Amino acid sequence: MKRYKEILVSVASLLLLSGCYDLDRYPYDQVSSGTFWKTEGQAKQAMMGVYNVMKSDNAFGTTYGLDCLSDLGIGYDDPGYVNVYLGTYTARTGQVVNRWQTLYDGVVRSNTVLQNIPNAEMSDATKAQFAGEAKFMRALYYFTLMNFFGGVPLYDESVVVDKDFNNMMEPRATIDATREFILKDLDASIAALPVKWDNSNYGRATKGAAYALKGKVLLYNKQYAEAATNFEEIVKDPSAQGYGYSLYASYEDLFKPAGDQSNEMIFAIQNSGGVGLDYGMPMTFYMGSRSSFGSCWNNVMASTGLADMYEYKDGKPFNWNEVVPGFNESADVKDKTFRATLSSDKKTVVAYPEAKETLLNMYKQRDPRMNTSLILPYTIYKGWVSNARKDCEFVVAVGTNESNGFIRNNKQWDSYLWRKFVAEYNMDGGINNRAHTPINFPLIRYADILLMLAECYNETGKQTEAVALINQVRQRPSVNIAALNSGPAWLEARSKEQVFERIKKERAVELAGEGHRFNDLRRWGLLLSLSGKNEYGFTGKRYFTRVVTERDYLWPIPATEIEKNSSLTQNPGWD
Amino acid sequence: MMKEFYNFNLRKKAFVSAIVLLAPIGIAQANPTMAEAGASNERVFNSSPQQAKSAITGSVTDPSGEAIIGANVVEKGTTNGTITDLDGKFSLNVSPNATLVISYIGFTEQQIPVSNQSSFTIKLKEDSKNLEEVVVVAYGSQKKVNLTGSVTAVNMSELTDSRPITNISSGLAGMAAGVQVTSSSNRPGNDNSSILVRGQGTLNNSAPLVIIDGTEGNINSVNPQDIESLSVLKDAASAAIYGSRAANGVILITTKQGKKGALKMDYNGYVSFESIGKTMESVSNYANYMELVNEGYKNSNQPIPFKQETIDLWRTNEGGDQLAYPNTDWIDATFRTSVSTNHNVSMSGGSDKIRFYTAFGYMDDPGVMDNSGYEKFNLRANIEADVKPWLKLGTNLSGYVARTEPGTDNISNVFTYGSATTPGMVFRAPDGRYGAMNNLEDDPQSGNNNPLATLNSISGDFRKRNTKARMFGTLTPVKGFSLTGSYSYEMVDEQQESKPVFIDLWNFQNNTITKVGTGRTSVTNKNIKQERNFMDVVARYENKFMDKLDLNVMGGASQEQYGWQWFSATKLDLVDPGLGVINGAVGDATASGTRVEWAMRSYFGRVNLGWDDKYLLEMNMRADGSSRFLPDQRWGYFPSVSAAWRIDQEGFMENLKSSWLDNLKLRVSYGSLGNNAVGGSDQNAGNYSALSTYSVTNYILNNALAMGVSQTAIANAALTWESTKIADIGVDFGFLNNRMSGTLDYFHKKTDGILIDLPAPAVHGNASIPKQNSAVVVNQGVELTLGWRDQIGDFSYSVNGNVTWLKNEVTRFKGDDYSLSGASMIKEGLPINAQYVLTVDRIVQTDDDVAYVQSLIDNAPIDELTGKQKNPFASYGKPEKGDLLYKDINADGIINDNDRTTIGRGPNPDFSYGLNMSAAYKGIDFSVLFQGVSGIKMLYSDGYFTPTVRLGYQLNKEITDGRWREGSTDAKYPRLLHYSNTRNTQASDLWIQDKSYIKIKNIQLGYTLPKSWLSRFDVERVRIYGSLENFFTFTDYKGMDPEVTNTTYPTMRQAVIGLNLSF
Repeated sequence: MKRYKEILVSVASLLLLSGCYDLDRYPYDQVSSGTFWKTEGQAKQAMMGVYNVMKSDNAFGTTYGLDCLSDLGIGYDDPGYVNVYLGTYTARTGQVVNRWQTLYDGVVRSNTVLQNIPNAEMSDATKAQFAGEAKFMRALYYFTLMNFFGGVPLYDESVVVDKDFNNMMEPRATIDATREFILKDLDASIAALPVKWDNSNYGRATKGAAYALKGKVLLYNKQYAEAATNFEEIVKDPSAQGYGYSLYASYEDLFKPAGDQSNEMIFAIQNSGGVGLDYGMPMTFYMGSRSSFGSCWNNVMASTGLADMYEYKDGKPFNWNEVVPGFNESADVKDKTFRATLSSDKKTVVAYPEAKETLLNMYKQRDPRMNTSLILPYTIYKGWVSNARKDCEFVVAVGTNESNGFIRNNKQWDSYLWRKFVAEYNMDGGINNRAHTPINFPLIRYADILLMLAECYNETGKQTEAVALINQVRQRPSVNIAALNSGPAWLEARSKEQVFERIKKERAVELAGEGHRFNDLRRWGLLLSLSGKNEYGFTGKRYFTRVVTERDYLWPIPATEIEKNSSLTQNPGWD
Repeated sequence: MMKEFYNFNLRKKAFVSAIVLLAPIGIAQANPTMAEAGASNERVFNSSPQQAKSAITGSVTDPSGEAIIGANVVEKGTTNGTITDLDGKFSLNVSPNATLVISYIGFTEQQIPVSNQSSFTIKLKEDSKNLEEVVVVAYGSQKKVNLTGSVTAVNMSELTDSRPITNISSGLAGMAAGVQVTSSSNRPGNDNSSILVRGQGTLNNSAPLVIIDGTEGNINSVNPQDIESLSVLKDAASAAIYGSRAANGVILITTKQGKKGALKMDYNGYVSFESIGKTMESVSNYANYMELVNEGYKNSNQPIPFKQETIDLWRTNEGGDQLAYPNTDWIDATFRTSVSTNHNVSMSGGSDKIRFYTAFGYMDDPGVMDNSGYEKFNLRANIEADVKPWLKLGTNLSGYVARTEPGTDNISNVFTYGSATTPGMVFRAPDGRYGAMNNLEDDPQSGNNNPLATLNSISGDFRKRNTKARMFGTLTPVKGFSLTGSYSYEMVDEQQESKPVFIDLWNFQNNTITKVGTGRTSVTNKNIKQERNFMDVVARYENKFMDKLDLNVMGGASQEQYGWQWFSATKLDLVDPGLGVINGAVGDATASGTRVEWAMRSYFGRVNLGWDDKYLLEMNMRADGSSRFLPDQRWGYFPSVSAAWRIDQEGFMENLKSSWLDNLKLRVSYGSLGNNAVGGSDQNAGNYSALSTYSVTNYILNNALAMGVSQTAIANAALTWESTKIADIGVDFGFLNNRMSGTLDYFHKKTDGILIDLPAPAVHGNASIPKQNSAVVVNQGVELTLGWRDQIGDFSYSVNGNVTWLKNEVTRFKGDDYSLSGASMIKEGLPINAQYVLTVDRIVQTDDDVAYVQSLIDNAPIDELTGKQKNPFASYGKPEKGDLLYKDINADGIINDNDRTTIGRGPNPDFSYGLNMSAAYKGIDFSVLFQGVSGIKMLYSDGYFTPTVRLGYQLNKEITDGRWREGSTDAKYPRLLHYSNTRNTQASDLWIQDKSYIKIKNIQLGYTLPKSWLSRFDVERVRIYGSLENFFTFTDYKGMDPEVTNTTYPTMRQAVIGLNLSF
């Protein structure tokens, strides 16, 4: 009997051990669908997720690199769009596929917000405002898609990706239908968005931004009068909404934290940085050189052509030959103008070029935007080397090294480098990661609006009004170069063609490094002007030759997408 | 240790039945009248227990009559005994009613009653090991002859005695039919291999379930030397009891247990000289390299980067100052030869009541790359005790502490970025300085990719501690019934302390630092924990009815929970570079971490029926519930049935049995298994795939963080098991006194509802797509294992081979639609991941070729929309001389993606094989193991193997030697082009490579010292050996190693010298 008792006890204790493990498990670091979409706070969080997509490299994270596809920039690797400017990209190129997918990610997140706002507990007015905000962002993503790919498949909030992700097989909408869709969204957001947000919400889409984007969409379709109406809304503020946009006094500070919340910003990607706050964009990483914080790659550089576009302060066009005789004709002269000699240990400059002072002097005579946008040879850049400030001189010589106080171009190209958007020193601790530059990146700013409006005026025969707007931009206090039509022959701009040339040039020098030029050249039908264009360094070395053909007006629809959705048609020239 | 117990019981049964079977034979041989004499003696013993001892003599021989020297002759139940002399003779004083026990290694033990006889001639029968071999199966063990399922037992001593096997997974290569082993990474401490049992049954994680002493575990957490047995359960019948995770087969590992008797101590140690097998050659002459890069740039109409004078300078200095003008071969410069050591000591023994096995192991592998060494101490204690006749308790404790050098963390970077180096770099100067680019025209960026600098740019201490404890108890309240309960706990704790090391990179030509090694100091502490709880209760009942019907019933339940969590913190600005913890730094800090879990509950049962040892039947059932699925989809049921017919036991086989047939058995099985590996090969992923979840996607407002949340993973609420049904027919046989034995199996494995990542249109955004249950894959194949062993005098030899033929096919997917990931295609009617590529018509080389290209343009079809002639080469560009012209497969006049076609059978070999030959003569033993696969054709093209040039990147000599250049008419590869030009690097059959190979995995030669020398030192056995591991590879593959995918840590070549000692 005792034996059985013992056995019984043993069995009982075994069973006691076996408490049941719970089979319902939930993630610890994520919110699951059951608990989300209850409050206004959560709606806002979802809305932030929509904005978040903008910083992705394939949305707007490398927008400044698009200048490399125009006459303003040169570059290499993906941020410099090397496959595109050499014409070797295909429908399978990663950047093509990823741009498509990432922009749609923005669309899908916008749609998710639109689907779920009705479920959250908040006032109808707030709901409408969220809906307007989501539609603004959706319009922005679709507009960007349209710019790259033409008409695209349209998915609105009726598509629940959670259920339909396998069946999103819409054919491409026509380009007009796509535009209609975008304009409709923008109308809704104009109606719903506030003119301004309270300070803590600074950076969210506003009514003014919606007008601006709508004007731009119309301008891109050459609907100049309609576009002008939208631009005028925020420039003239006819119904006294109190938009309050204006040009910011300091062009230089506009691209530094100091000016990135100025009245000039109509819609900008909000960036921040610092330890634990890596929520910026990789401008420093890709536009900065080895001398920049974190030792960067300058994948994206300014073209020699851009530097030469900057006028003298008096508006006179720049010509090298007037500075250094024979410069334009001879690569040797170019090289001699810039070339310095370093000591054998590469630590000191043994001989500066004779023209050094001439160059420095010449820079001072030029449009101040040149020196604030670009790092010019023999000027100083506020570098960050070996964990410390280091003022680095842009010496043109083989073997320059940042640790010796020189600027080092990562590619060893003799090319102008961007100063705009690039961290100086360590931004007083503001930057902790080269891929997260804490400078807001403007997608639409007031100067752009003025120039777009000028374009509308010019196209509709209002040249005088157009010139007045261009002059506003030229005469921003810190720039203040001679106004058009203010005397000298070189400032004459009266005919439509003359004014258009001025708009082209002004957009180039004002908006350089902001990625507008590629779109501008395409909408103007001027892309093929780049065909076969050689890109040289300022010392006359050829670095590459552009390959541009008719088909480059639109990127190919990703081949992988056509494989999944056979109803998609390819763009002309791509299959 | 219920398995051991079960095992033991069966062994006892086997032993008893063997005696019953064999005793009469032995007796008959010894003395024809013995049977009667024995019977009468029984009576004598009963009536007269105290009889005087009498002297007996005898001789012991083998079946051929040769004298056996050193055979044990013992009076049963006493310590009274002797051994036979040089002539095989013995003499002994015994009680007349005693029983003699005669034993000798390699022969079946015989028991002979003395019964007043005084002289014996004893012929020992060779131990037909195969016949009585006991195989560990799920929740128990079985005599091999009684198996109804398809199970392969791997001979562990063959694996561990003299091969430098530091983990079992890689050691399994070539050892068992149907088991395919592929090295995925060979770096020390993480030399994991992926194991496929009977092909890739699923598109997901196809790794088999590994059960160690009853609990799921990591196959490489066990010290190979501690393994007693390893079985691979291949068909549904043998694996079904593991249900939802057994679809890819099960590997059962049982660790060693002590045996009753004298204490035994074993030592096995070796020293291994390691290096890599190099099968890839890069252009290492820098002058040539520069010319080739220039050629590529020129071909692409790009400015050439290298001046002729630089090239000339390098050429003049060839063989001169290697520091200033290096010609570095990146493989030679990155890898080194190293010496690893391994020591294992074990001790085992036991008494009537308690048995134990303890072992200690030490391994030190400095690795063939810098700062990537691995050191491991492991310990094991297995103890079991018969507390009461009806109660057995036991415990298995094991653990290890491993130290990894932190450079290991950067090894993948070495391979990822190693291609972005050039022969113009010195990786490390003799004085220890690291090099960047010496040539200022070369890409300075590549200097940062110096592999040796990469490896050494991190310091710190990575420690991994694994502790596993298992307790079990077995109750046997009545005969034939037992109840076993066990509880296991496993904890893996990884503590990683790391700090960046800032390395100066030099230009040795002008002796300046190109990159100053400074940065902000920081320390990172990361802790990773894995915890596993497992418990089960198993009841068993066995009995024999009517003397013929064997009944064996088992039922049980188990549950398991698993958690994985990590926490990492980094703090900037170390007070002193020597400090290694968070408080040693004073700057800003960041932290991150998370946790995942899963849990399972299972019920299972099995019935075994046997009739007269001829007809065997087994039925299994398992029900599994997993936390990975929502309640509606949670439970899966996995039944199986199998039967076997031991034909050799039939009366009508008597004739054959007496002549050449020893063993013949027919097996059939059918059953269902499951797979819940939702997360693919990462066991910590996919735990919440059935739930829609939102992740942090923050934004900034007003320069402050604004929390954002977005759906980054799409859920599939309908997610459930994928189920695999396996039918298996097999024959086991043994002929000619079991000198020849083998197994032949045909299997048909059908996996339904495969969990697959369907490539959804990209318009769904960047949220990850959940796995979905779709597609059906069938694997069918034949496995043959064949062995021969024999002995001629002192010379014994054996040959064992195994071959698996396999055919893999997706039988249902999406109709005519397919899914494509890179070049790998999933489509009905094709093998999984068959390669879908363009076909190369020719390399355009001659003017005729150019004319042909032009004719394609001239004859191109008209575009209906524009009325203009189409450009047939719009997709990839018009081929110039030296370019590939792709075939217009669909003959539409346009060469584009529609001209792709499938080639080969994907990553699955048509057949794989292993062959082990061994021979022994007196003390000398020799063996060779071949292993190979055939029929894998995969696209291979990465930074190390491409016909494009890029400033600062490596070039492959195979390609540059075979490239087209002006005037070539027989080029193997296209001309060199700038890397941005992808016309020749499109996925095409030119880049498909045959990854078939034969490797001589191991050759070894051993010598066992004669016993006569050893006896005076009280040493039982001393064997010294040398072996060559992975030394010879035969393959056409042009990459690093046909066993690994693309370019990564290749398999090691090892030359080993070792020692086995037994006391």
